[in-house]
Amino acid sequence: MKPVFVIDINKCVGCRACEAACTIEHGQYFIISRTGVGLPQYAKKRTVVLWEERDEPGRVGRRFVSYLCYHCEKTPCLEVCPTSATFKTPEGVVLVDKYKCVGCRYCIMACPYGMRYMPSRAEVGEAEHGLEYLKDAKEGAKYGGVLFQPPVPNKWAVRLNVVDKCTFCYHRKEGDKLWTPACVEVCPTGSRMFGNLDDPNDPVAELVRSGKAKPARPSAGTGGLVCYVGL
Amino acid sequence: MLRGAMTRGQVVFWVLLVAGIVLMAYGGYYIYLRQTLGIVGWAWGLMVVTYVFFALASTGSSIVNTIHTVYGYDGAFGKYIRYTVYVSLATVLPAFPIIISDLGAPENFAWMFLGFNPTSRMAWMGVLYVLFALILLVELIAEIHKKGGRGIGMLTLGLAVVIISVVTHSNLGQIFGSAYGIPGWFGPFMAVLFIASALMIGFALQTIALMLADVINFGQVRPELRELVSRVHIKGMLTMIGVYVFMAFWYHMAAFYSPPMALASQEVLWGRFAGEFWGIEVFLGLVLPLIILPIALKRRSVGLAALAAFLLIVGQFFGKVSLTASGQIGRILFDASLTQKAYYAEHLIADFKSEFFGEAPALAFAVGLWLVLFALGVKLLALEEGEKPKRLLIFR
Amino acid sequence: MSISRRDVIKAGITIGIVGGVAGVLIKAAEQVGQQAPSAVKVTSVPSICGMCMAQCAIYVDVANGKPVRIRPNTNAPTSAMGICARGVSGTFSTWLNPDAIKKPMARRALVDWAQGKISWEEAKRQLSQNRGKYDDFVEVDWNTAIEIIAKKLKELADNNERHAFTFLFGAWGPTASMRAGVPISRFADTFGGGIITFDNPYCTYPRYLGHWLTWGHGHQAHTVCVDYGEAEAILVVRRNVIGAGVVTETWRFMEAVKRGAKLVVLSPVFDETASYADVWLPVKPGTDIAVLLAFIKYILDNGYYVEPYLVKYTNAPFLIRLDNGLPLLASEVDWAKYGASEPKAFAYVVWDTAANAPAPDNAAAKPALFGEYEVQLKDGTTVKAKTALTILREWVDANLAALAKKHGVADYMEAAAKEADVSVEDLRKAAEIVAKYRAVAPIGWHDPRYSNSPQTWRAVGIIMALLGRIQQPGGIFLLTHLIMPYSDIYTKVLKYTRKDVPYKTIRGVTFSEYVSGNLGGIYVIPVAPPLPGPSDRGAPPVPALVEKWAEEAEKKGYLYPYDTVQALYESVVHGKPFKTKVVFITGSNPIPQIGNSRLVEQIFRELDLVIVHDIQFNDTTAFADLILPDLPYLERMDLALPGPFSPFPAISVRFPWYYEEYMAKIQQGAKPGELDKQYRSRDGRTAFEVLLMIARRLQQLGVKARDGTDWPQNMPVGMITEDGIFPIASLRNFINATFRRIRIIDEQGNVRAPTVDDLYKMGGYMILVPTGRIETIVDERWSQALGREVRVRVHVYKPVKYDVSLERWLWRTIHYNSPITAGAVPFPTPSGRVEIYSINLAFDVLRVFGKPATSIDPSDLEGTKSGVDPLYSPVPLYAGMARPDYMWATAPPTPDIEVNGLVPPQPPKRLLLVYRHGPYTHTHSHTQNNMLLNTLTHDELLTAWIHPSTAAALGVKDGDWIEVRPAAPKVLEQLKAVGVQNVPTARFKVRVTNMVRPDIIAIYHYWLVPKGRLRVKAAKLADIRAGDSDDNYFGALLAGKLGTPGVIGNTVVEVARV
Repeated sequence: MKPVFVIDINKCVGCRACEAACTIEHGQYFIISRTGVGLPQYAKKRTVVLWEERDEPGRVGRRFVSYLCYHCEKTPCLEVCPTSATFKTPEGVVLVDKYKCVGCRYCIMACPYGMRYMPSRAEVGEAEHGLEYLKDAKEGAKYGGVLFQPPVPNKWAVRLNVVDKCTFCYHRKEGDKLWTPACVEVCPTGSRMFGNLDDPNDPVAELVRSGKAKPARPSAGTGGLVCYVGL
Repeated sequence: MLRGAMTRGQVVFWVLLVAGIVLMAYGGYYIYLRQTLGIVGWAWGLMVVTYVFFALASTGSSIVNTIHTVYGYDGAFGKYIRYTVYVSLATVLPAFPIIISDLGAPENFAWMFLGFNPTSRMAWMGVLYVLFALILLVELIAEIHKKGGRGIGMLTLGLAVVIISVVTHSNLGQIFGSAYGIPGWFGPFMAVLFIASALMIGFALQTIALMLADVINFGQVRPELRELVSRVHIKGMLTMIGVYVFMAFWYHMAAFYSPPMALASQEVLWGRFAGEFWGIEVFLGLVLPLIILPIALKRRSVGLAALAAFLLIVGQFFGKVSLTASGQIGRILFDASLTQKAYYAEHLIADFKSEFFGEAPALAFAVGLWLVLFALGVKLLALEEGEKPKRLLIFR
Repeated sequence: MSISRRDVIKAGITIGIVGGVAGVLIKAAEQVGQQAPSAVKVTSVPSICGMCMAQCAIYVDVANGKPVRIRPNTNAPTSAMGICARGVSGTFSTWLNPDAIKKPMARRALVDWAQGKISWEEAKRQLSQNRGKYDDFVEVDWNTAIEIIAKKLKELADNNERHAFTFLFGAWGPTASMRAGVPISRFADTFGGGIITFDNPYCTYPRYLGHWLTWGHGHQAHTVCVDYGEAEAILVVRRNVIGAGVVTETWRFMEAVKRGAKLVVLSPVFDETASYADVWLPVKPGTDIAVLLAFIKYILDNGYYVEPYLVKYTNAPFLIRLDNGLPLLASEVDWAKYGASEPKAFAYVVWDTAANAPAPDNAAAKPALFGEYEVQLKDGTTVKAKTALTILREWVDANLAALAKKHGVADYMEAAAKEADVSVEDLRKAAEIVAKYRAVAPIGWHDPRYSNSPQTWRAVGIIMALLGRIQQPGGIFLLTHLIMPYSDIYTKVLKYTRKDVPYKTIRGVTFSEYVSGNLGGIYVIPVAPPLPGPSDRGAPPVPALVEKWAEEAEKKGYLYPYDTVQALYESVVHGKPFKTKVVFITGSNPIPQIGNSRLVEQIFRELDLVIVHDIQFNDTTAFADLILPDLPYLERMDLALPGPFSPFPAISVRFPWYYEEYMAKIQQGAKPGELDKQYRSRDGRTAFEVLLMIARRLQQLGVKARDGTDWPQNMPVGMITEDGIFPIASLRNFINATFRRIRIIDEQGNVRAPTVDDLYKMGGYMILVPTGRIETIVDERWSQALGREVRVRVHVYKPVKYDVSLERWLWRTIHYNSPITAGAVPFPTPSGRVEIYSINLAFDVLRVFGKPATSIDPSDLEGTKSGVDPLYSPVPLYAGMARPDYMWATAPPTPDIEVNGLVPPQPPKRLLLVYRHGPYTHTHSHTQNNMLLNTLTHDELLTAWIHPSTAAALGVKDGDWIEVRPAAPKVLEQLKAVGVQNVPTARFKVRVTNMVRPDIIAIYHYWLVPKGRLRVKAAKLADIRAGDSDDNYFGALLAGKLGTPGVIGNTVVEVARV
């Protein structure tokens, strides 16, 4: 199976349900994330929806563009990882083994798309310190909901001081079936889609085969499993 | 107060040692906090620069040694070869604690070797660096124990050192050179830039170190050293400045033709680091030495040479700072331009800079460690020509 | 003393090594043993989202017996694709909310009073002193809390002041949700108290008044649905469709956009929806109607109108008498003169060009759309009459001509462009798109409330009518399954109740006759309470405050007035028309929601007793005397609803996350009630439970229902446990009972009532597809209770589990094939058709002002010349942006009455305050304190947006701070009048952007820094806003003359740099 992630930016409404779902799914320390500032590396998130705006007199415009790891075919981050913590699954999904990563950030330097980031314990501590009410929220988490931890424990969840990135929700994979990433599952307009390139009648894969969906920055020449419609 | 009146040599020794200890304590405390609190951002900051700098210095210095060990130039070099080899060795060591404590999760360090990734420059760096240190140790021992002239054995050893040095610092260069995400670094330039820079620093470092060594041990600069410095090091520095300037020019020329790369190069040429670049790297680090060195040569003055060397080292250090920082800032600007989020770039750059320079204490630690190692080495090791070690192969 | 070298050396080495290595080691040490976790089993329980009114279907994932995650249930027409960020972050509002209310709390004084320690006078004194503060609150148990309420209600009952008690019911606020509406109205009916859907009119009333007067049906956004599937062009007015994030509409809207449907957006702000617009018209706020009239003229002049549609589905051809402005009735015509016999059935009159004579509207061969005719009446006189469409055309022409004169231009497009301050090229382009592609307009949800709002929505409706987009493919369709739930509109507001007033009937019949007579086309879903209430037993209706107030208001020349705040204000502060003393608020945070918030605070200061039932401390709880913890929606099993926000008839039930475990344990013999307690996150009770506890206590205190019956006859008092818990198991049976009148055909082909289990299997959401079969059933329960046989005619539905692949099929079978679409069943309007010429307005103008609507001068832009303000015109006219409307309907006049409520915007110092809605606009009382939502909200969205030119003039740069205060002298007068000393002021960080007009300041709605304990929200806004930083603090308490409560759209503020 070869999964492919297609983002139709003509359907995105910038509601960031995807970010919310991702945040919860992976136990993101969202209190340190800076929504809207740019790519995941700077936003400190796995995926972001940027409101890309043109703001000139008489010429205003806006489009909503989702960014996440492109799971490149030619994989700069994997090539530079000194400990092989970054690796590729048989399906081509690029993952970070949080228990091998030394946190050297070399992959962050190598990723041409800024899709990797490292959540720092100090920042989290600082943020928590500033939010005196977190104590009460954590109290509530004993009953229901999750705060800074994945609802379903998985080894790809966010971990402090090692590099974090989108996993296509690989932990949701069961057997050799195509799974549904959290962000795709919640996307209220179907702007985010997930398909199987090996499946001849997969409508999402068809978007890619027909060339309707194209890679984000072909110039970077890394290929990858994420394509955009209308970028 | 310490027992008895002290000679000039002793004073210098104690000053270096105490200064070293203080710096180490200060830096050590920072490293302790950094690791326990986890103050590790995404950026590559001063700690990486420090690591790079020490690596370059020691590889550079060991290449300089080959003038004697390989090309057989003797003059006064034979007299000082043990010192210079030890300088290389003492300069290798501080880089280790720095690079390890720079990591976010050093507890996983073992995977550097367990999970060795041949395509990763950094993985190789781990291996090469250890290898390099070992070979230097062997060389030191050999130099201390060699009898008579330079046999074929010493020659091969010397060659081994050259090869490993060159491989090591060009590999180091390509750590940056293979960072695909940073246009300002990516490409073949780093290796050559680093070689040039390494040699320059090597000459400079030795000049200073040898002067200090003489003062510590003999209270003054011996004539052989004047001979050596004016014949080898001053000329070496002058030559390498030329080479380096050409390389640097070449780099910025190349950047001129590649927009993403230019973002970084502009930061250096007339951007945020213009001050450091023109003021420190170029004027202090290249122009002044170019003025001072000929005078030093004329007067055969080791002091002046050492001064120029110091300026040159400072200049090169800032060179590495602006190279590392501008590359990453260039990337921030590049991303911002892609995502039309330019108005956020300034915040991000501010964050980046505080992250980057916040690591300064680690530099202090490295320098401190170097001072301690150097001072003790000069005092305790059998580095004088013909001197016989009493303990552990190398100790007096 | 001396130190040897060796010592120093040792020391040096040690310090160095320790310093360098210690950290690394410590770090490593604490990481040891951290291993990758192993997977756990997850079960998914279907539920209904409670984060906004749309109430999408969701799954709650339960891992290790703990609810951890919310996922969309795509087997529902609402969440067919997914859910929004609000829905996803539900766990943060319910359980991760640091300001959740965990136990009942009361002000000390109340407890003392309940224990008889102090008199009520003393208690009241202390209460009013402490309102706005939390200092004197003490935790109490439920018995004490209920005791306090019951004791107070008994007092009212004993003094014959039952109507002094009222519910302030959040506009279907998610905390209680509309699912609590049934027990609330039943309690009110039984006790004899009132219900005020407090904030509801402020969100939407002017808009849906426009709908009532045009196609007859409208309330919240979900009473009419837009067929985006076939739409070719969309005209967005006063609506941020994709920003509002109501996914049931958003995904369908985006499908249309993606398909290439043209998009025209009227909005002073370049909002999310405008991002996709083909033409964005940044109209001057309040002038939209001028633009819409230009569209109408463009459509009429260029023959884009759909003649057959107008003839069959609208009252365009109706003959309107010029003498009294009313439509000609068949019963008035002297048919003999035209050799025709008088029609048996009720009919209006059109001019049949085939016979060149008048004819009953439903019997004409070729009705004329235009023209003026003379008709012989029975009384021997002749009357001049024009067709409705002629009046529309002539009046719109005159209106726009006047506008052209005002701006000194010749062309009406230029006139409209000038008035709305938009580019005339863009306007023409927009007009062509709207007309050529026959645009449909999202009917929206919120309305910014300008004096002319209802007429604006009339104009929108008329554009769609002219283009044949009402109840037609690619247009809007009435959701008839929601007509009954909102029947009050027809009986109490429009009063289709008396046959002797033909203009106030639906083609001659009353509302109830209309429904029963046309059941085939009205897909009633008869969810019915198991027990009848006093009104069902024929008790006279309880005097409703807002209705009484409206009668007074109408005397002062206000049509369809509906201003809950003003009504309550006058009732509480001035005791007119009658005093309100005790309010029970649930599912709402009224103080910051409804302007002017300072005046609203005043209401709460003067009340006897304020009870707030909510899940979290908020701005309003600070003014409460008694705070009761609700259960978060994910823990509640709520009563069934006829598919809110579903474009198809449906019923939905909300299941608690623990439903499966719970039922299993019950099977194993666990004790209901006790078991429920174990599953509750707090000592909370649902609104239903609270009311039952109060009912039980009242019964014990000997306070009977208003008709003398016992409480258990009216409410299932016996079903709650000793400590007031309605066990899920019993609730399940109760809900089944409420289904007893509904009929479905199950898989086996049996016709029966659906059950809760059926719904659970379908994920809590069941589409009901009408089969055309109608059966008469006997309601045993009510027959028994009322002692007479209760027979009901009901539809037989086919239950369908939704899937997005069924979408088009459902539209065809339910909407395209509906009898209303076929023209077989009339619209619920006086003409039974879409009203180009509003018969309601025509009649009420004559009734209230004693002048015929035809006496209106359409060229009178300011409403000064003609005897009747063009604002009331039966065909929409642009009569200025707003009026200095203001009145106290009943109370003694205060000095501010004559003060003009409005000041014109004068950039840069005086700007129109425009408040925008977006994905993170908080939905009523529930989502304000959501940590995750707040994080997701860009700071730049929360800043105040101003135009670069304005910013330059003010001398502010991007990121600077500005100070905002009300500009209208009336606001200040009003605040004085109620003794409020400090004028509301707020500070905003600004974003300087071309995305707003120069004469406005745009802020995100309902994001004020809370006065209550909403710490999460306060933290978020810390360095973006300060002070009374919400729209509701700056406007005057105004009422539009035509059914527009709190015309906040006219708010102008003073802006200065800080």
